[in-house]
Amino acid sequence: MGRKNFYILLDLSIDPPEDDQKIIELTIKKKQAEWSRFRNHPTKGLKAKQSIDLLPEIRRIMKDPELRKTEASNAVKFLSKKAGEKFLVIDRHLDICMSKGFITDEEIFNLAKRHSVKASEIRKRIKQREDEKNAEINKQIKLRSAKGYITKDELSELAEIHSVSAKEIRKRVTCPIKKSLQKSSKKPTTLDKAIEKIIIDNLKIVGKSSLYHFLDLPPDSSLEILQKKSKIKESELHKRGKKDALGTAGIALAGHCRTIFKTENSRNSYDMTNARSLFKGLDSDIDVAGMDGTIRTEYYNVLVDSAVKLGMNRNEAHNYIKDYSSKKKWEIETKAKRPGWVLYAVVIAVLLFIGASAGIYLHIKNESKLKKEYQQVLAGIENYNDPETKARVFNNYISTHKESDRRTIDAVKRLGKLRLAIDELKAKEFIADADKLLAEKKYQNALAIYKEFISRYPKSLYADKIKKKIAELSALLDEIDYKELDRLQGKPVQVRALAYSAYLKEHPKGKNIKNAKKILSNMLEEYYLTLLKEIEKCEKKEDWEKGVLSCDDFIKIYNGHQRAVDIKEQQDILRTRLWEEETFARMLQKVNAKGRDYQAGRQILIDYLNAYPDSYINDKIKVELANLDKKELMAKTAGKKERLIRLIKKSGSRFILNRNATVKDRKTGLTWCVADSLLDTDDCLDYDSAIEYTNILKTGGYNDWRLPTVAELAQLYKQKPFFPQDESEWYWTTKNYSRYADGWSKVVDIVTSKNEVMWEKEERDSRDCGSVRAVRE
Amino acid sequence: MSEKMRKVFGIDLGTTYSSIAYVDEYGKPVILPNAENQHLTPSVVFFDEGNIVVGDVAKESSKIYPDEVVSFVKRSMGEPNFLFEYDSKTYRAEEISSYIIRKVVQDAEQNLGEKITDVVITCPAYFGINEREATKKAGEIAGYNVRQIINEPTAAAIAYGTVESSERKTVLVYDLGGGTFDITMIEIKPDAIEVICTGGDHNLGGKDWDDRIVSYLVEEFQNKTGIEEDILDDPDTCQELQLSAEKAKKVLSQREKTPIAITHGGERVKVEIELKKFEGITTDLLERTIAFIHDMLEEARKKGYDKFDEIILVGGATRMPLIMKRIKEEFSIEPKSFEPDEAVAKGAAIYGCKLALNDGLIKKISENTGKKIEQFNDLIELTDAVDVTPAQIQEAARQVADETGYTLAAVERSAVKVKNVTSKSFGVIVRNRQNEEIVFNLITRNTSVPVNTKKAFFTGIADQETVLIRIMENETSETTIPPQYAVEIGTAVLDLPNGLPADLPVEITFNLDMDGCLQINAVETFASRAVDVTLNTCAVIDGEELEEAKVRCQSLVVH
Repeated sequence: MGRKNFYILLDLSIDPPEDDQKIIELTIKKKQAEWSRFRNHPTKGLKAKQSIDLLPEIRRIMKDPELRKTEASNAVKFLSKKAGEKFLVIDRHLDICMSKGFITDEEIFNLAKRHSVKASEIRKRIKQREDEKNAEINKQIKLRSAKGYITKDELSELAEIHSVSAKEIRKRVTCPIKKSLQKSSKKPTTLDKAIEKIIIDNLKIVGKSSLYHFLDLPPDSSLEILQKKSKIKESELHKRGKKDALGTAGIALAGHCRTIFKTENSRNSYDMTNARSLFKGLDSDIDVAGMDGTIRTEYYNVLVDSAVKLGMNRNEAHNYIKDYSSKKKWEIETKAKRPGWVLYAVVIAVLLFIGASAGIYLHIKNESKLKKEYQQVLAGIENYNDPETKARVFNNYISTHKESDRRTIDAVKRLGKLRLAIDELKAKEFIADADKLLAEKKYQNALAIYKEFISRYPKSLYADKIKKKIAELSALLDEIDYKELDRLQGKPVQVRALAYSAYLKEHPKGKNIKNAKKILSNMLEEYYLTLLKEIEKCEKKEDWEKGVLSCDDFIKIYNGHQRAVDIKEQQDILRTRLWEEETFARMLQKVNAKGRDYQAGRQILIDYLNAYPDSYINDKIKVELANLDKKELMAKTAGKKERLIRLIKKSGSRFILNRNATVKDRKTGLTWCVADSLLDTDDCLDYDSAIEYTNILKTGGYNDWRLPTVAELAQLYKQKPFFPQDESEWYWTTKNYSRYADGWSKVVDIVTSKNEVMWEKEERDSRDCGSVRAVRE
Repeated sequence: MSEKMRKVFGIDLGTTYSSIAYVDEYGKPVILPNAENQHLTPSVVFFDEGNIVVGDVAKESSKIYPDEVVSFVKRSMGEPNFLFEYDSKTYRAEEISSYIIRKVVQDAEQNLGEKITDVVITCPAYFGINEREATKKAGEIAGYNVRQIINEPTAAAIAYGTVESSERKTVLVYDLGGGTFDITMIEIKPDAIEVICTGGDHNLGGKDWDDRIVSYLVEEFQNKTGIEEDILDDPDTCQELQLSAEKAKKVLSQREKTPIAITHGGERVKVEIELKKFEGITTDLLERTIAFIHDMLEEARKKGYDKFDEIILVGGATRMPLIMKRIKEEFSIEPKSFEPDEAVAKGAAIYGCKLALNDGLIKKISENTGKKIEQFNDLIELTDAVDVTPAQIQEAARQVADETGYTLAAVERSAVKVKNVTSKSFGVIVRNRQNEEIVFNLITRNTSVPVNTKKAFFTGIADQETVLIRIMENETSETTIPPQYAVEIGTAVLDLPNGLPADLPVEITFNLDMDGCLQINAVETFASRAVDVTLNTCAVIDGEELEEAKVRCQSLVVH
């Protein structure tokens, strides 16, 4: 972390830099007293302590003319950088003022005053700040991608704000795109502002930007990892001997980490707070927009866009700006002045209306022609006996002629009469059919026939009669069906609830409806608890599909009830699990298809982990990743082993290869492992680990493997015919000794694997990393 | 009472409150009230023109004269760059603390009607060498003979152990004071009090809870008025809010909510703070203490102590119910609140009395037997060292009891052995085989004191002229650590004869006594040249500055 510049910290003149030693010392003393006074300030105490701790360094630098000079020039650089940052805010404020298409002199003056710059600077800025749009779009995408993905809605929103196509935005997105925001069971609240401020102050002291940064973990780390790291960090800090401001702020932050990363909820609150902290810039924007007590609509719209750019949705943006303004007692203009194009639209509408009226007049000419045509139709109709055919002729006429024409009206009347006659005939047919079914006690079928009649001929003269019959029959069926429900006693609650629900659907106006509803309602808790157990079973068996299906009925039956909402939430989780499981299976197929390209296979899984850091299947994926690592290592070592075996075979008759991955040296009678520890584990070992390695080694079924002596190894690599050299450069031996009497700093003799006759003995620190070539008698 | 035996008083020099106690003739520790008839004196100093005012009046004055009042000075003990400026003069934390000591002692003298000369002052177990030295200097500047600096939790355990000394048990002392937090595991035996392990944070205390309330009040004030300025920049408002916050914290220890009025810049706002809110904004602080307990328990396990029988709570801040609740939740033991405000001073008084009676016994035995006897820790040590018979000791004890007016039992009990551990590790900077600088700890934290360790290191090059010994203090239990984790507390230079080879052993001895005073001796093995260092650090007032402060303090009247 870079320390604060001492010229700035001491408020000394920078241009020209203060160089008078006496004045500097006096200032330091003054500051020392000031900081000491603030040492126990409720909010600034730690910062004061940090400054107090810096005093020896301040004196060292400021007393040395050369160092002081560098410090002064750094101060100038720092301030000019800071001034550059100031213009970012000015730019944002300019955006607001220019949203109406122009900026007034008064606004330029106000902005200049607000930012303590000359008005000419503001004017210069207005000219300079064209076309920084691309960089801005990228920043916004990054902001939204922070949660690990970006939604389609967010894409279109960005496209709209920046007036570019969604495709253009999509091109720049590097994270997964999802349909909608992932549901979280509870909307997190933000942290208490007092706590937020304390965390920010402490982060400033340790030079970190967030608690994630403090723990050196990415913001998408799992809660478990965050908790673990918090503990480690806290322990580390406890051990630090220096209780300076850095250490104190660190311990305080570690405390916050432990409480904030305790649950997902509190962590979400922190994330939300972090996101919200970006709104401080927005607050200053609103301040500018409301400079004269009223926020113009144009300004308001820009503010909403700014808020959306910061990651709020539109509704939140409206509410936020409105709340802020009302707190400041500013008014927001509700509508912009009606622009000129509205007037044009009205004129065009009137012109169209006049044109249409002129057209009607032209049609009157056809009148006599129509009269003749209708008379022909009436004459022709007498030739048919079948009322249905007659009706079709009238239908044709009506559909091809103007509705308001009096002949068409006549045709409609005549058609009506014809229909009545047809009705009667049909009714008689339907009633006969129904009666037959009633006699056979097929009530349901009879009812269906009546209902069909009503739906086909709703205006039939028989409609009322049939409706009455339907009512009677429904009442009868209601009784029968209700009695049927009694038989369900003892059946599982799901079956009963489903039957009652079906009954209610079938008899919405039935006599027993109240009772049925009550019974169904009474079943709610039993059904709910049974379903929860069922869900639990499904979760245990990971049978997500069954789980999803079993929720369906409950949700349908108890739609609108809180329990249904609860179950819906459960179902959503199950559905996600189902999707994850299916995705997992698909991914495995893809990974398998990659064959020996382990990196590609790994990438498929890692992409998923990155896109869905909280996914249920992540543990499985991690296992799969570990498997891939294992497979790759095995593939890698298999190749190397084969190569080594080939070389041993080539080396002549000195070494006899056994089938159990060991090799016998006929010259010495010793048995060696074919693979050394590097080939075996793909890792190097320090001396303690090397001993441990031989202790647990079981190659060839032997458990008496040990480290070789210097002489034994030398016989292998320094006497012809040599044992082939592998990747390991050198090997640990049994020979070790301590540099100091108490065992501190251990040194071990090693033998290199180089095939050579002339060689020198080497020694290594026991903490170095080397290999083991295990041996047995 | 005999003139020959000087009483030793116990002073609890706290971050927010201080008190003084002594052991009465019945052997019972008693707190001596101040001139305002309060057991606790706020550790606040008000520079009122020529006068120094300490206590309640000073605290109340802070509202009106915030720049002339200094509080929480204990947090700056041993910080060389903390300087309080008043009337163009600067004052170190030690000197300001000396005024607090003067105040409590002076009032006690008035109350008892006798002169006080010898005191035992307590400090957090977690204080390092510099802070301890500064505490001792504070007592000396005030003009008293500081017999010993003892740890606050040890003192509390002594007070507790004296009350409940019938059986052997292991207790955790959770000491959350105004500005510091200590957690200590102590074994109480009928004849000894032994500290097993200790840990804590000297920047965590009740004040941090107050500060949270202050931050909350500022936020609420801003919300309710729309005023965005930091109202704590105004010293008057800042002091007022700190006092209100402390009161609110106390009320919230008994009630569910409390109203607070904030006045600033003509605006007056009423804020109500609920217990739930208070708990919410301070959880992390409480959790920090829990983390420290676990760290300490881990250390204790390494020493073979994997369980404890009781948790006792001392320190005023433990009155907050949430602390008791949380500890119970974490350890499934009902913690006992033991005289949270007075246990430390009383324990210090008992310890002081033990020192005084030991003096008496030594004197009597010397007179009776004609043998010269050094200071001793317990009777066994005494009988072993100078061949004194139990009968001779009993006789001396009877004489002391007669002369002092203490009961014989009280005199005999004074021989209870107190064994402490060091809360810090101490080592020197050496180079490892990779030629990197590391700290090699000769004494690791939680080792029983007194302790004496010797270790040979080797010179790096042939013809080396000097050996620079940099003495480092740190808080790890490991033997070697990187230098950035440690604080340099002193240096010594050992000159070497010419023509020496490389790898010449240099023996370094660290001797840490009961007081926490560290002595270093280094000997090169060729010509046996030695260098002795008693730590003398710039972090604590010393030399001329110390003498000036003493004079200044003696000439001042503390009210």
